[in-house]
Amino acid sequence: MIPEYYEFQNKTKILSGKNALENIAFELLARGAKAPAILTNSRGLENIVTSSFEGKGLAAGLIRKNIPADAPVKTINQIAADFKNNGCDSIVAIGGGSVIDTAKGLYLMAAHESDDVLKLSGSECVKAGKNIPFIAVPTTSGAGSEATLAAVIADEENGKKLAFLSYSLVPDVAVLDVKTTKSLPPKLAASTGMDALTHAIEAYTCLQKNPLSDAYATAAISLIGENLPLVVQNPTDDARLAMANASLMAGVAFSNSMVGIVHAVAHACGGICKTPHANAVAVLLTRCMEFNLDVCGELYAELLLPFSGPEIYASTPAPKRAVRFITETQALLQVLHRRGRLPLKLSECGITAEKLPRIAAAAINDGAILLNRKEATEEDIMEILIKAM
Amino acid sequence: MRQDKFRRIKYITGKKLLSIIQKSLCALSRTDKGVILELGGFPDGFTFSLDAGVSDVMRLTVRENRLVTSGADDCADLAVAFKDITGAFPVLLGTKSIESAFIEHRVTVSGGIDYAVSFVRIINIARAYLLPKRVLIKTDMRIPDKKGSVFAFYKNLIFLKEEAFR
Repeated sequence: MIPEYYEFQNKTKILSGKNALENIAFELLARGAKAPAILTNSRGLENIVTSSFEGKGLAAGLIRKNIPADAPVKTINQIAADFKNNGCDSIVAIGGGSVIDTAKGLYLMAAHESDDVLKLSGSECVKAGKNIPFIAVPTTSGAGSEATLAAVIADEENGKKLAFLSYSLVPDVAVLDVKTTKSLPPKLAASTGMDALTHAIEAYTCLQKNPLSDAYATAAISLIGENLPLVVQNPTDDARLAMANASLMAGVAFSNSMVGIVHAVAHACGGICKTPHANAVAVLLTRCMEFNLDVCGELYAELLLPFSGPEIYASTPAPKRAVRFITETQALLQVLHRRGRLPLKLSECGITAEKLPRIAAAAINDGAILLNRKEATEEDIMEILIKAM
Repeated sequence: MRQDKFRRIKYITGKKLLSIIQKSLCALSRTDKGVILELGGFPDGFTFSLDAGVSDVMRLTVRENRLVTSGADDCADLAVAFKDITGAFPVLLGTKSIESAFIEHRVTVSGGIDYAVSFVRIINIARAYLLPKRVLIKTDMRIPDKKGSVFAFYKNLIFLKEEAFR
């Protein structure tokens, strides 16, 4: 069904495949950049990029390594000051979700010449600022931040994760190169892969869904169902690239239809217990799907086809497809637990029982909760959390 | 021409409806336990504004767990703004929920989104008092419980002058 009204945007140019990293110089030059700031957590990928700058009139204005997890406000404000002092004119982010979100914070500050990223928080409230070419190179296949309008930034002083939503945050170019995820450990490949799956499932089921986001979400789910077990057990370049594409597609999907209860609770876990986002999401996904089942059943049933393929879909009676989709997702979690040591309980992610009420109270005020198809109260969230412990 | 006329009618009606919503929120912050509980999550002096695309902007400040109207000069900690009156009007009229406006990208939010979520719940409580249940069942995904006296709410809304909420 076509919604009464929806909006969709995906402006990102995508470079996918072998030696894509080496084309970053061309993309920067094409956008008039001369002194990019490079933010990275990778070991050596930035050297491939900077060596491609040679002889082209490009030089890194700033290289910042060891970006902390969760994109803290203080780090972003510091990097923004260095960006200005070093005369940088563009941004290249090479890393996982935290690095790209830090770069988005930097982008906001640089484009709006602001001294505090917190002044720019909100949804669609930021107008287009100065033109700062922005290239994102994900080194995990999960966050999808290379193609989304969202940045989650940690306000450590208040123990909160703040959402920044603006179409101006969508990077100009996303680079998916097989080299970038080659060194990804199985545990991280498993958890970030589940994050991508959760993005796609929530994008397909939450209230802002639309036909275009559905297309991206189902394509992502199909690639994840096929390739996630492979990248954890026996990774090939093809499987890695497929997961990188799936993560990007899931990112485009949720950037335009948003996420729901899984992310609301996972953000709260991250804000209060510093639980790695992908781990929290992996543990919570099927519990939240069970909670949503009575309202989202039809949509879950539809997802069985891209996730498990036509044979399983056809052999499952229509009324049982939604539950089958959940059990197939649980089966994938078990495989990832065995092969990649993916945590299956919140207690394995550093969350203790006494923190649960605070997590539930924070989750109920997360923006994603508004878009979940089924209304959730604080008590409902407590129940989900207890089941997930 | 006809479009202009409709727009003007929407503009005038919207302005009146916005003032009713503003007064309702102030009244409920004195009578409804759900609203009082939500306001407990806001720091004292926190100011929100709702710009519905009519000339007046609703501005409210949290003072000792109650909502009071605030002046145009007060800078809002949370500013919710509709992109156009056409998106705001059905919400002001009650034929569309505020969540629908968020879902359809009709609004922008400056400030913490967690506060915006709480603000949405407060607006929804006001809708539960102002609109008949059969309308809410059609328009709202979530119908909150009324945790205060309907009589006390309407008494404040009708008989208290706007100065009482300053």
